[in-house]
Amino acid sequence: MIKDILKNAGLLAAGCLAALLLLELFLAVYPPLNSRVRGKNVILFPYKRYVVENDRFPKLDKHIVRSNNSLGFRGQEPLPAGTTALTVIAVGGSTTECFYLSDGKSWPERLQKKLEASFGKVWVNNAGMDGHSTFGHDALLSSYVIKLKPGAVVFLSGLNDMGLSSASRFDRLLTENSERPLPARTLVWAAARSRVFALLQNLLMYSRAIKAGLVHAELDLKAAPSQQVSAQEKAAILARHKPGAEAYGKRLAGLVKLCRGNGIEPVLATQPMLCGQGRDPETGADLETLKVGGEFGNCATQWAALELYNDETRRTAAAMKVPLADLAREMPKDSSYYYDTVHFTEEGADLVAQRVYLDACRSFAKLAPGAYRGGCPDGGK
Amino acid sequence: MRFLKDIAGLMLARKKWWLLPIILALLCIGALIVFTSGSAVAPFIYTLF
Repeated sequence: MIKDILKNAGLLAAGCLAALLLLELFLAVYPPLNSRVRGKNVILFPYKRYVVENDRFPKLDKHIVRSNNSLGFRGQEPLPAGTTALTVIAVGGSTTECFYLSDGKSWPERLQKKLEASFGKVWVNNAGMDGHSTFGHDALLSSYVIKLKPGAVVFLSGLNDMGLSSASRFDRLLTENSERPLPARTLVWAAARSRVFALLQNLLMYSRAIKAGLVHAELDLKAAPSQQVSAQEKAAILARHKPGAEAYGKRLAGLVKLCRGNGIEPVLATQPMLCGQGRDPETGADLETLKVGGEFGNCATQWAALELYNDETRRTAAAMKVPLADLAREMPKDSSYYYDTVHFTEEGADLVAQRVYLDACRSFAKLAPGAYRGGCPDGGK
Repeated sequence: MRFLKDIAGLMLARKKWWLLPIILALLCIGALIVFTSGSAVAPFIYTLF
């Protein structure tokens, strides 16, 4: 009897192992989802090209082509070694990556065009990655960006850190390094070694992005429902986010130190969004009561929470004397700049590039005096 | 569907339970091929990290 049980258990274990090997082999030959995170590491996909036939976002191109260069970033190929140039890498989440904007239309690529008016040679790459928070930025910097030694790194961050604060405790621990429970620790360990577990890890991370209401979404402002959130509920949500925002501020300060320790000048940008006070000039929609996903209930509450994180960005910039593009205050609350509540249309990406250009051009000039040709505007406030 | 029924029948009749993980893996592969073809793949790279 015991012999039979042991034999069956052994056969089942062999079956599981064979199934795992089969899946592993399949994913090595045909990686369908291009898992961008494996364990604690960021994976880049050089020369990866996505073609999207877009029928979801009426404000965007119908036929979207989004390609990576040899580094796995968006933008031009690296310049030959020894070229006197201003080199900038933009780091952030989906609002930096601008996945659904075709090549050349994301804000970092537009920033390059604007900077070319003031610099002889400019190289700007877009290293934004959908869903990445300051944890992802740290991994990206440590593994890739620092080795490239750009003159400056522009961080547009805060939104996904807010999403992590909204995630459940177990979800958060999948990302944070300290005190991971055994299941999360095992998954991260296995994901670093196996494509099957990496796929599982990425699907879990995707599901929590959905739960936090952060993924790209169609938004018809004329038909969107509204929701009231009481003052007590709003206060409770903001209180829940306060520790998360403070931790974000510390991580951001760590990124600033990491950059400066490697001879890279950081530039910080606050995260703008459509939500806030008043009405959208294009549709007349109420930008306070607009219903949003995740825990926030409505737009005004989500904006108030995001401002906690933006305040940390402002505080870090002031305390560490880092150039700041305060996009959250500079971008108008106008749906012509967004296709959902946070992601930029072409007009929005152009305005972001313009604001970063105005706010950081003079700092860039100090970094690359040999490439500077003059003509930086005076802040543009 | 009939093929799957036959396989399930074989497993039940011969008590070859160790086949189950392999069949599930094959189903996963099929599902990945079907659901990740074309534009639908793009949103899945939004991994909160």
